[in-house]
Amino acid sequence: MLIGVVGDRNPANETHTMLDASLGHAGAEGEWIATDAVPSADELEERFAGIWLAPASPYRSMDGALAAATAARERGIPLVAT
Amino acid sequence: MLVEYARNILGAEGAEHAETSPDAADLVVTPLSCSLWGQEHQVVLVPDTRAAGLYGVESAVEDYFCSYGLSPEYRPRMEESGLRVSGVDEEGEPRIVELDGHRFLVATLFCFQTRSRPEEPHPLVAGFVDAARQSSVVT
Repeated sequence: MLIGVVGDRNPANETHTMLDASLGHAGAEGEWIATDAVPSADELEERFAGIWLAPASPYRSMDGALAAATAARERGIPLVAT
Repeated sequence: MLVEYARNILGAEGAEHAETSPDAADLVVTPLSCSLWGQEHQVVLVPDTRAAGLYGVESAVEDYFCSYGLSPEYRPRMEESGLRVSGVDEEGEPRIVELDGHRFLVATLFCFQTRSRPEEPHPLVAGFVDAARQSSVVT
């Protein structure tokens, strides 16, 4: 089962690598979506069972992160934000 | 998540995050009185919330990589609108929020993934993935 991880992945950031690992612990898989490449709400809903807003300071695109949060909130897609 | 909610649910169109827009007039996410970067702290779960149900304990220690949090000025409006504070620090400051009436919408100030283990996934990861699994079965 695929989770869309919205954030700008940095392999040197342990909270990012541990995020991927933690999804594996619960039997899911994460696919990262850069904040400046967030697809439409329709595509998010179709492709991903849940959305994780990854820790980032700051996001490359605040608008992209906001769009993903709106899609999750309005469409009832499970969302976590760390 | 808080910025999105403030803008679209509370109608605060100019709501901003202090890290990206420190000079904005309307800040929903503001600097914490002291940074929590790289620290571990206790989170007290608020009874009868989703988070408390998932943790199944009264409090837990979590890792923080964060220097910003929900503006105290915004908290009453957030709570009145259905965004519930479900975890607090020892002084009662918000550390977890969750949205009533949503399948699963939880935001934390800490990074719970750091305390997840293969043999024991973190309760919030497990709860999130369970909700995702159920929603993907339904749709």
